[in-house]
Amino acid sequence: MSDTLGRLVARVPAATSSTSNLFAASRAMLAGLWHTFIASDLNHLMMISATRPVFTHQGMVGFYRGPTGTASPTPTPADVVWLPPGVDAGALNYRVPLRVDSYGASALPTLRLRCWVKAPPSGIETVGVVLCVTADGGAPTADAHYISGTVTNTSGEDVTLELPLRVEDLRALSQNVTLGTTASGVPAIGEPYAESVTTAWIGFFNTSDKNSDTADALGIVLSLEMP
Amino acid sequence: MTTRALLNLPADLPYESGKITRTVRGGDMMNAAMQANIVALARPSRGFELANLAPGHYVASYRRSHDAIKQAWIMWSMRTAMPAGTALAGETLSVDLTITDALGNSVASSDARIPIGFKAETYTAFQWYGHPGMATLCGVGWLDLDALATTLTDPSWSFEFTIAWGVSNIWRVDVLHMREVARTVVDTSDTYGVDHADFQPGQPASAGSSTTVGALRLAQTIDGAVATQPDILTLAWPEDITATIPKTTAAAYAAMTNFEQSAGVPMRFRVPVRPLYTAYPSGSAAGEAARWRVRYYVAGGGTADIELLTGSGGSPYAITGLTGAAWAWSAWMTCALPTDGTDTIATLSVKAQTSAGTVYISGIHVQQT
Repeated sequence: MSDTLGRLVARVPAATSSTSNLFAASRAMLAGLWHTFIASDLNHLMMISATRPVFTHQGMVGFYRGPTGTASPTPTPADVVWLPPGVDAGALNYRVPLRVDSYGASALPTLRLRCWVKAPPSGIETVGVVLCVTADGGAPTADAHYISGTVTNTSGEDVTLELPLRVEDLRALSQNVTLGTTASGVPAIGEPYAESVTTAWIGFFNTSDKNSDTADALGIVLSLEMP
Repeated sequence: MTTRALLNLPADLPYESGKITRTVRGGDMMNAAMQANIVALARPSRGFELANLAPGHYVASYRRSHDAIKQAWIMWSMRTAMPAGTALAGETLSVDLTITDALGNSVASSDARIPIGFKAETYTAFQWYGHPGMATLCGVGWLDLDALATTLTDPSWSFEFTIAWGVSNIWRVDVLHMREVARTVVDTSDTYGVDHADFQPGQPASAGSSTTVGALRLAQTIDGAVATQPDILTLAWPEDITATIPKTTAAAYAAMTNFEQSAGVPMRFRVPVRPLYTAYPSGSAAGEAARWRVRYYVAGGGTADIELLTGSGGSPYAITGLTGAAWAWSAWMTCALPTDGTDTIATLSVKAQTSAGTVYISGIHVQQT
């Protein structure tokens, strides 16, 4: 890692006209020292600019939809019933499209799911939690890159799932842009852009499969973080 | 004005270029300029996603990274459980978007700056034969942020969505997503962005100006990258005080009903914080700078206070004196998000109190600054 400070160098804004601006003309600052400041800041920014929360949600109290069959000991995306929550009152899942930037020059960030999960009060059921990505936005199947966990704690516990992203999890998106709309003709053409994107899927199941023995998944945070 | 193409292809900057006995060369400076453009312009972080929405009125808060970020992508998608053979009559969907700012300026869905799909058009939902996780219908468009800013002159914007459906409960808007998109052009007439050709070998080394060329313009562009900080927490509930949304009648700060992890314990969000100025990995209770605001409604004539707990030395951060039986955003309150020394995670939660009646909330926005 070429970043040695791990934070930004505190300095006045570049537009500051006072003598406290070390980057201004006629300041006694060597080019080498100047470059060290700049390199440190930019290397640090190049890493942390790849990290951020990409999705936050309050979650759901009382989900109960069971797995599609007998759940795998390590749940897979195929174990989750991906029906729309609310339409299937017992289901809980999310779909999150996101842009992914490299962490520094040569690494990809890790996708982390953090939430708090409480298993059903009966104490005999298991909650499955699955995080997966599909590069093309396609359906979350067992073939997707995934990580999963289970919760049986009826008092609830923090869950953290960590999915190191790979190049094959990403899709190069090149997008032509039309801005707003128009009553006739073609809307204004915007600035085309190119990004690396993926689609994350978060799915839950509750082996009880009945609304008298429900589970909770709360405080959901999906984020890109340092690898 | 000079424009240059911008590719989001970073390279590590070696410190060796600043070694004693070695001269910092034009190539070193050009590399630095290209990296500065990437972090200031090609990696914007702000926006929101609301999920699994039934019909209703939802409001999301947005504040632009900086004015050199020009465009945002906005989309909604629908998922249905409508099986093959289900009758289609009356199964419709519409999404209406109005954007307002904190001064009350407004861009209605009928405005040309709002893309098709967000103008309350009625779409007919159709049968779905595929995987139930896949969207069956979506609306996609882009927003010209400069064009919107000509009307929305205050930087704090509200995206107000009204979702309506036809006759039955067989679909949800599973994703309502808005985010700034990458720039692919560096334009030196923008607030941020440096022309790397300023540093070509043969060019004179110059401090230049923060608005034009040279080392100061490069430093100015790094300032733009520092301004491009993420939204830490964006939440929205339907604006309906009869719905299952956070509320409390407590006279002293307490966890809000429908916003609890367990009885009396507020729901917690474990969020990553970018280390900017506090030491990492040693951590700091002082925390990184942030701000937050809340969308509230106070019924029953009370005066309410809502506080954000972050774990920093200055926490909690209370927004006080909230009144009025109408939905409104509070003013922004500055706060700090601590880095914890191991994985830069802050744990956030919210409590509220009211002197009378009931205080409700329909939205929360925490943003690193």
